[in-house]
Amino acid sequence: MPFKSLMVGLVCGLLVWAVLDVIQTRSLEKIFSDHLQGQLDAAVIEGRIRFDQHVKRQARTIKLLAANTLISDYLSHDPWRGHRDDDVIYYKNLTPEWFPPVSRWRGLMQPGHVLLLDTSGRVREDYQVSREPLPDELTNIDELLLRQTQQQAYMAMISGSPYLFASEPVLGRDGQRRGYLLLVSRLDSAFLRASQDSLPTAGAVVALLGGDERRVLASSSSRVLGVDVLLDSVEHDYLVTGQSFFDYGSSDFRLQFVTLVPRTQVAVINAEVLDLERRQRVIAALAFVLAFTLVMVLVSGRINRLLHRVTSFSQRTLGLNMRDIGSGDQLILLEQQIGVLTTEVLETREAMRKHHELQLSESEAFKAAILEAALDTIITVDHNGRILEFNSAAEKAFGYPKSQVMNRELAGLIMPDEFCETFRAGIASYLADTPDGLMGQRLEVETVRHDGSSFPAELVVTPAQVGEETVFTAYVQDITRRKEAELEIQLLANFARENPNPVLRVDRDNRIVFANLASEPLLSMWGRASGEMLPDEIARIVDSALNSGVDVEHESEQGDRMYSLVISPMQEFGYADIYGRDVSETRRVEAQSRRNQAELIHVSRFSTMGEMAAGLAHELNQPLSAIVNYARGCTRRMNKGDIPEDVMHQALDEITNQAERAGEIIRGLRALVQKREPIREAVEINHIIEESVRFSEYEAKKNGATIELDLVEDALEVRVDMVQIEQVVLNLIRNALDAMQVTDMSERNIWIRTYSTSDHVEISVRDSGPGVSDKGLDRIFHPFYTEKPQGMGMGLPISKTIIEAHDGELWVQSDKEAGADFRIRLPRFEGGEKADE
Amino acid sequence: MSEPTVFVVDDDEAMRNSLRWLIESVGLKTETHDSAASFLEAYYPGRTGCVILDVRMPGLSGLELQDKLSFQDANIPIIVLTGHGDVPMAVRAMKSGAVDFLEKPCNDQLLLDCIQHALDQDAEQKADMSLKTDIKSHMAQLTPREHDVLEMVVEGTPNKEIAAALGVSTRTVEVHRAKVMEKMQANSLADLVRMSMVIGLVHEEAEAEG
Repeated sequence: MPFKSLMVGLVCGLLVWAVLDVIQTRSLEKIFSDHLQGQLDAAVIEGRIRFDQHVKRQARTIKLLAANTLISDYLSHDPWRGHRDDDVIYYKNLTPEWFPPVSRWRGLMQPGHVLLLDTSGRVREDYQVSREPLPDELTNIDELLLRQTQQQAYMAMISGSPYLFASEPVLGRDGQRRGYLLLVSRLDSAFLRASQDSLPTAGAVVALLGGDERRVLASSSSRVLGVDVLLDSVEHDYLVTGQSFFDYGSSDFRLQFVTLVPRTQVAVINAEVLDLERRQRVIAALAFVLAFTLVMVLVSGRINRLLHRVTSFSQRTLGLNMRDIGSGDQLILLEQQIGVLTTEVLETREAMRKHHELQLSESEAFKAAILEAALDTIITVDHNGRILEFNSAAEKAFGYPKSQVMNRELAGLIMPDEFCETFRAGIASYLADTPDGLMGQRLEVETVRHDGSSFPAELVVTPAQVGEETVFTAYVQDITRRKEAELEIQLLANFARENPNPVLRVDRDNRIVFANLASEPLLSMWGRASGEMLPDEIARIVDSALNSGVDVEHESEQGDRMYSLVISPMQEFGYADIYGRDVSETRRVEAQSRRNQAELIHVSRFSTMGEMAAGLAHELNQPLSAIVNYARGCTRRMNKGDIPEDVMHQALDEITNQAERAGEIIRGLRALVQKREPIREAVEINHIIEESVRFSEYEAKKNGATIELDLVEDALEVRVDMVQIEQVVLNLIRNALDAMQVTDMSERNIWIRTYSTSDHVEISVRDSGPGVSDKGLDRIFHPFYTEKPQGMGMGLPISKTIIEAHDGELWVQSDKEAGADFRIRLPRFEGGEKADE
Repeated sequence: MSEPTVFVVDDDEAMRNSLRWLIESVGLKTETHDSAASFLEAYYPGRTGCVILDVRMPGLSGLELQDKLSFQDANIPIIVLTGHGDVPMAVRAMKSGAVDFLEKPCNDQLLLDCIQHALDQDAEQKADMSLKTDIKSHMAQLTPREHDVLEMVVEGTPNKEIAAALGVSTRTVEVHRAKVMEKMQANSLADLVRMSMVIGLVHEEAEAEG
């Protein structure tokens, strides 16, 4: 495509250029030659003027010389006295004394001879400036010549050569004419050259012609144009332009001034100009071709696009399958396309018009077809309720063929008896202009099929005026499916109704809009009934749930009843559902379980105490034995009668002390064994340890074990049930003692350490036993796991339960070398207040 | 001989002090220690008296103390006090050489009688011990041949048989026998036999056979 444009552009450009070249060259040549002629004429005139000026300069020079005082002085004292009349003084290569210094006048003129004449016109002195001698004819100058030459420069042929003369009388000091100065210059090529400072065209020659045959008398270049050459013989080589002299009035020969320009020269210039012109034209043509090609490319691109658009437009709108734009002349193609398009548009318009007409004519049939094709049952009746139209959907729905029902009364045909009257009355009242509301209403009616079966339907009756007649159209829609769906929704609703847990729905005003059967106990607990407002406590929560849009869980409790409620807000519908669950039983079981656990802890404590009974007995035995010893000692001393009173008091004090000690032990024992509700109080951790160790000391001694305490110096407090924590510590000590049964007696040690971490208090009970086996580490806190032959496996699990109930931790670290290290961590109590629960 | 001392070793201070109070009421010298180690430091074999020991103590236990004392050949009588129903421990104590054991709280008279008995036994033992020491030192002066002769004599072997067994003449046996009598400072054969029995050279059965 661009190639083609390029080619067309090129050819066009070349053609235009070729024509232009011919025409322009011709006209240019004519213009040039005209112009050249003009220029030559001007040059000739200019040459003549220069020549004239040169000549005038000669005349002026001679005037100047004549006016010179030198010559005036010279002639005043009669220089030629004593000379003969024909005796001429020649000055050659030297300057006469009457002549001003050379520098003054050399630039003004280049005469051949300057002659000094006496008053009679006889040549007396000859200053020869050029090399040529003075022609003999000029030794005696006649009066006429002098007169003529005084007026202006004068040209004359002297012995076949043209000469220029200019004269001026010379006055003496006294003002008397003493003689004449005559300037004689030969009009040779040197003179001509001098006259012409430069010529307008190189190679041009100026010449003086003489006579009718136009013979060359002198030329500026004798090499090019010799003397005596006839002008006619050179006219084919030169372009000659001439002008006659009229001012130098010589009658004997007709002088003519011509300028010759060589024709070759003109031709060269002409060619140069044409060449330049042609080059410019080529450049211009190239630029034109390029621009043209570019424009062609752009235009053809545009046309192509336009063509494509036309094609696609026609394809889209008219469904025409036009020839695709291939190659070829786009413009022609465009024209074709537009032609085709126009035709097609016209045809299509025609077709549409026909189609429309057809449609109009078939409108009625079409309506009937629609009626037939309608899925809904459409029946038209006249004012008597007789069937005018019965579409195929109606045939299908009711099982009657159309032919069978035409003109029969609709009411009796498909409507149940109880509706027939309503229908008739509706029509009648409409016709009587007292509509009763049948028209346009959606009515649910049980309709009857041909075979006697029935189905629920939605019936709409609308009146229509057809000419004078009022007809009624009944739209009957089978709503069996809708009924089923409604039923299904109803059944779904039963989910909530029959839910064994309470399900309620409340509106934004906290009114109970729905409550299922199972919510009865909940409502009675609240003292509310369905339709009433929620109790304030619940209402507040429902409000917040509705505001946040997030489900809220809540427990509602009263007496021994407790309900767990999930309030699920439906913000966009402005109500909330409450799903309840009766958790009274669960809570009761949980409470029971807690009690059972307490019981278990207690029983376990009892068992621990049982195991420690021997130790406790020993513990109690000590003070009792001491009391006995003191008492007996006193008795013996009293029997002897040698007892000082103060010593006696001392002994009695000891007895009291020991009795109190025994009482203390009993109290501790009671506290440990007593069954009571767990209490929490602030206790010093060291106190717990000391108490526990006291109970287990005997046991430890019995086993030959020592218990070393490393207790923290500060009074660290924990808020615990002291008895329970003691139970744990005792249990750990007992475990340690049991574990060390395999250890050598002398190496049985228990180290108990208390220390604090940032906000916790920790107890470490470490023994020198064999440690806990790897298997044991995993399971040591599991119930019924034991490594002791007679163990129950309940001590550690219960201990762990107790510690965890105190928000603490119980764990074990074990090392074969270092034995087992049980750690208890409890939250540190910093309140100082002795608040009891 | 120095005055006998009752050593009370018990880690319970009240117990120690009350025992001292009771024992001193009958005029006996009493010394209390809170541990076996403390007692061993204060005791040396020459001291007379008895020990009242709580069988359960931290550190060196009562039984271990007994072992230590018998190793030192210090047969100081030990009375063991036990807690309630700690019978197996008491049996072990008796087997280890305790003279008596009492259950706490104990009857004061019983305790004091026990102490008295132990002190007597100690005194007797101490005397017995000095006799044995004498006999042993005498016996150490005998030559091996004389020792052989002594052994055969106290077993009731006639001189002739001794001579035959040793391969010497009866006369030589008689000379040895006279030297033995002299060195052992025995006045009669019966004296010599009794000495031999004291140091355990001759057992009762052997005596009966002899």
